[in-house]
Amino acid sequence: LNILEFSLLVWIGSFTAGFLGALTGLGGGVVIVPLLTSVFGVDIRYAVGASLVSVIATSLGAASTYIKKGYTNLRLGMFLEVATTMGALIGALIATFISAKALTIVLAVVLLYSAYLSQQPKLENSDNELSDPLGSYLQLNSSYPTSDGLISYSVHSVPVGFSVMLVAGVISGLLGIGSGAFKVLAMDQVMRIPFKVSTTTSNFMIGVTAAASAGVYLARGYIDPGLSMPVMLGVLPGALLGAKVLVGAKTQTLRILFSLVLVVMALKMVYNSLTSGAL
Amino acid sequence: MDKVSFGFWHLPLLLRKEVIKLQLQQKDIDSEIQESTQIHLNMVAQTQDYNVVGDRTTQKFSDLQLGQLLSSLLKYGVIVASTVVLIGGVLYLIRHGAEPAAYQFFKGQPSQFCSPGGVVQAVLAGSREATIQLGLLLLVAIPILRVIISLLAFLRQKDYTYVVITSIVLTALIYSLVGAYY
Repeated sequence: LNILEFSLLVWIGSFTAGFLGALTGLGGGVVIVPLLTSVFGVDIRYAVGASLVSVIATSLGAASTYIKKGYTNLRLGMFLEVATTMGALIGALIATFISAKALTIVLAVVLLYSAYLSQQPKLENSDNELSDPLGSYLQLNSSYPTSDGLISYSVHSVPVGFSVMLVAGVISGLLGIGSGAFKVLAMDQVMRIPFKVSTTTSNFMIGVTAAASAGVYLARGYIDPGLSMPVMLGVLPGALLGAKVLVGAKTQTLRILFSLVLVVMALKMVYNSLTSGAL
Repeated sequence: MDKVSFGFWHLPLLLRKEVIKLQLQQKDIDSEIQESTQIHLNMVAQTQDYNVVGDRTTQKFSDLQLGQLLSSLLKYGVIVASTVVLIGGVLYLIRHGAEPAAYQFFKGQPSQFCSPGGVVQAVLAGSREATIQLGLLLLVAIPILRVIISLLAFLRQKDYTYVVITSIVLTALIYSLVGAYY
């Protein structure tokens, strides 16, 4: 397999991953690392570096549109970025002295958990009572556009949400994924923010979170230009196309299918790392 | 609202120019950023004056402007960064496409690819891989630029809680890019 063929195959795989990731809302990053490691046999550290770069690209591209439409809560995002960037730095530093085997196992668990989370029903929170005083102080309560006009919402349990975000940051730094599933968990379930706002705000934050670990990865030589190039150039258009198709598409079946793919990949990764014995 | 959107017609162009400059003059990065942000903030201030008669509060309006500014930054930033990666990638494949692919084992990267300064030097020396790496660096620079612009906007709003919040995030980001080498 020469570099040209390899790059083309990786490009096709990344494009598909980005497309499906956007359609199902799971994000392309979550499937890029297992794809590169278990299908293409790439070392997990290169895979994590390439995935991180593609995650930044897609998140920035999508965030631009969401901000313009008024879904993203900028203040909430910037406040929670304190937690995710700190977490990402910790995660990236852990990643440099943890074994590739341990990294694989952690990733497999996160994949399974993401698959599980994606099957949970989406909550459309929009109550106005019992706002967190910290949330009011930080001006986190806001409103977002719906078909019935602007609907205001308030933010709950800010400290708990902040802590979950710290964990999301660590996972993101450790594995080079956006860990959007965990960010949405913190905002959806804990802070009880409307689904549209939590997904778009999570997307807004991913760029900064990933940038925090990218510096560390770059210094450690995890970011390989030859590999990152087809991954980034594949995931980005794939995700943009997926986001366009998403409007009006039936995603339930796709979501289940994609989750199954995640589960199979997670199991294969664990199997590979347990049988190889190397590293 | 018409006047407001008129004020923002110039933004994309300005931003694009700034990003391209950034790529050419990495060393002046800080002064460039401040300069460009200053221009944008002045524009924000100008458009704000127009809107004093409007029904929105000044506070809300500034947040709205910040959103517009960030939205354009992200969009054009991604376009510029991916273009650089694409150019580098095509050049790289033309020269190295026939060589065997070897990513199974981790070797790390040559040291010049591991720091922003090293990458720029390698690009100037004509390395095609380094051009890809430069595009990737530009991509990483966009979120950092986003935080800097937000910080300046909050300074202007005199919203010191958020000045502190964005400063912490910025410090962490800068630490990750600079501190990781020591």
